[in-house]
Amino acid sequence: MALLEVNDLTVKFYTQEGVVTAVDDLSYRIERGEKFGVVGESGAGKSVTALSLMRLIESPGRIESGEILFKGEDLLEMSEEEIRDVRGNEIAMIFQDAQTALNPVYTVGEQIAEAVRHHLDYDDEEARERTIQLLDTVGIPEAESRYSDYPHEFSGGMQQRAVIAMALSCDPDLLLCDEPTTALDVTIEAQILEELESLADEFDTAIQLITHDLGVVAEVCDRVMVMYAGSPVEKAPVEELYYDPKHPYTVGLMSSIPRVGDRRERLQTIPGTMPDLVELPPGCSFHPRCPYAEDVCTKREPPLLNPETGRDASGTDAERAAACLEYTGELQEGLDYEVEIREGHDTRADATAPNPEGDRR
Amino acid sequence: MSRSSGEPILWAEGLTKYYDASSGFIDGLLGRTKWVKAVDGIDLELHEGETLGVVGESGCGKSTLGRSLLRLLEPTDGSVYYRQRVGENGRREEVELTGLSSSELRDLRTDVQYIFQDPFSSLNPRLTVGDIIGEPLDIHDIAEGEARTERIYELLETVGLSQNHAHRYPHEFSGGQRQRIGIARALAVDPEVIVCDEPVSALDVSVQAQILNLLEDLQEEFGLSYIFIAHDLSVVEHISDRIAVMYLGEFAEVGTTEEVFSPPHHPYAEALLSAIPEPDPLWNGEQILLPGTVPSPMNPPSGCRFHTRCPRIIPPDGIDLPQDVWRSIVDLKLRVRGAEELEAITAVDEVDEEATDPNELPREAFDRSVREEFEIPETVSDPTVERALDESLDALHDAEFEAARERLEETFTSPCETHDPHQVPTGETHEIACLLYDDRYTDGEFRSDDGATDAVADD
Ligand code: SF4
Ligand code: SF4
Repeated sequence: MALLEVNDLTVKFYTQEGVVTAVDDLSYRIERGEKFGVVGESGAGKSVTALSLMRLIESPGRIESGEILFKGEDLLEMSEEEIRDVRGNEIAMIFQDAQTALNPVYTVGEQIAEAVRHHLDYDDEEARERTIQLLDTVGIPEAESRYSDYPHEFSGGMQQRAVIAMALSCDPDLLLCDEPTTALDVTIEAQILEELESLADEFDTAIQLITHDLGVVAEVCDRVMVMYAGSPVEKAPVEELYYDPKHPYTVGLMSSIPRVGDRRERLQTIPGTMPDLVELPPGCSFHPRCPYAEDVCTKREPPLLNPETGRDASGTDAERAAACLEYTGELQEGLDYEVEIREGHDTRADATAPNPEGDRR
Repeated sequence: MSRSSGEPILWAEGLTKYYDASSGFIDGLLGRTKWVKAVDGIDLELHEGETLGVVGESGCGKSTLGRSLLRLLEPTDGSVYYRQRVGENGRREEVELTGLSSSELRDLRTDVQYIFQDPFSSLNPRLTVGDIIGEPLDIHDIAEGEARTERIYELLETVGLSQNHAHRYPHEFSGGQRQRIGIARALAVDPEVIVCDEPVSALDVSVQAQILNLLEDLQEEFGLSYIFIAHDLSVVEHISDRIAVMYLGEFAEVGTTEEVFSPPHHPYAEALLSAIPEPDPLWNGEQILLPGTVPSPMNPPSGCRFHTRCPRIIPPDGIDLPQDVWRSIVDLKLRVRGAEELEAITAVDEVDEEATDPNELPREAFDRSVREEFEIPETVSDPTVERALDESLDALHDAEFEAARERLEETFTSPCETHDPHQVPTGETHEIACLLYDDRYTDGEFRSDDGATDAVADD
């Protein structure tokens, strides 16, 4: 049994402008200890996915249909009390903005100790000890002295570490991370990602990592799902996604990232912007921005198919899936792109030793 | 200062901006002022038609630098010069921006413009896009009536929008479109220099690429010169001709993108570069993880400001240790400097261990606990170092912090703490502020009394 299985999840928001289908018929699964990436730009429905798992969708939003099986039990069927038990005990969440997760008027240590007391039934002294260990584990120096610091006395990176410590305090089976490092500087981001990864391995915790950053996904995740306008457009093991992407949107995303050492004068772009979710374009919702769009794309909505076999791949078991009419055989011209695997990652690694003597002139 | 060929169009000498961060009653009572040294004596040059990227982490002062350059913030010290067009024949005349009256400065805004991360955060949401773009035309009496409308339409098209957008309101636009409007507004006065402050950091990647391309097209079309400020190294590297890497109010390194990054030279530039998550799952480059966090700009570290985190920090003369052990010992020293209790320097107990009070640990166990916390080997290969460590730990074990501090400083003071690195030119356009590149550094050792004229320790 998979740790998490999401089947046909649909979430809508009833706004003044109209009905927004934030997530449309989404299915995926996460195995124990697995690191699963959800990638997309704003409006893709990534965060709504995470909030649904925590049953934190609030009015005017509503989970319309589908099921979310966590260890075989449907979270959507649970009582408020049961779900509260799962939240924090078995599924924990880390947001982009660490500050909102920490209460400014309690010390960082107290807050984590409170969670520990609550979830693990520890007494005060035990909770304090455990908290200090956690702070130390997530890489906060002088954990013992920093226990009684207030959140504002922590830097952004330290705050995010504290939030991770809090999330880990109950030893969860699934950690939902929503853009956990987006607000941080890159040197701090590198530290936090490494910390997250090694902690997940150590505690055998599964991670659902939501991000817009393909670099972060490449570094952390095993499998990836790319979302566009509320729907999954591609699913793949991480290496296949990067070296053999099957959906034109994935290809567009990859080629629009500037890379250091890349001497291209211009970046490839995806023209236009994310469509209005109230009024999705008919057919393939990516067609107004897709360089390969044909007539049929404006009429037929592409199903998720296995790109090799052309068979249905909308279920949770599909390892490889893409939603493009190329794989139904309905495109006349077909897709036409090449993935160039850049040489020189290793030259970059070699090049790290400065040679002051040789460089001086 | 970086020297490229020809005269620059905009340059700064010793530009400095300090903020007063003193607060509250006590500071007031004591007449105490605390200064945040956001920008601390920066020299820079911007040449015609080039893009100078300024990259650094939050709090390094890069935005303050951009704003002080154009006097959106009054600099505390230093000068900024601009070579202004006079007449039609392309003749230019030097103007000191920092010496202008406010009305002169206002007139100069037709030449130098600024683009913000979110161009609308400070604007009246009730203005139409047309009026937002038209505002600078009104302020500088550039166009009115029919000509004004024409100019607005033209600008909208220049930035890839259409005429009918002029009658809509900012909130109807996506982030990328808003940034286009911000760019149109900056272009309205036909400027020569634009300071772009994190112009794409709030945008999705696909849109970010559109805006970067647009900025490059406009530069080509109108011969613009950009100062491009951002925290995202890959973006800066992509768009810039030259790059300045900034750390705690100073430039660590300046040069062409190639000089700075292929290969990287300054240890900070190297760490920044290595930390970028590569969009490639099989990429196996080594990431350099910097210890600690960026120190406060209120009280920046002595000598080289990066020494508290630098993986390559230079050991004092005669100390022979693997670099990582040496770094760990410096970490210990820095920690002891601010420590008031032993908990701050000992390892946290394992989960299954009995909790112990470091004040009650026997000498040997205490020694182990400290070394474990800092990943210092049980015995260090260099006997001088081992002795100094041992004696410091003796003092610490007796809670004699002052004695321990003295002992540590005596043996473990890096030249990087006592010498300000100069900007060392290593080529026509390349300068590095790091003692590793200094003349006084030879054969893996730094000799402060070695021949060079200014070899006395800087304060
Ligand atoms: S179905 Fe058509 S529009 Fe959609 S991704 Fe495929 S080619 Fe592009
Ligand atoms: S001067 Fe010393 S501390 Fe500063 S960057 Fe160079 S090696 Fe590192």
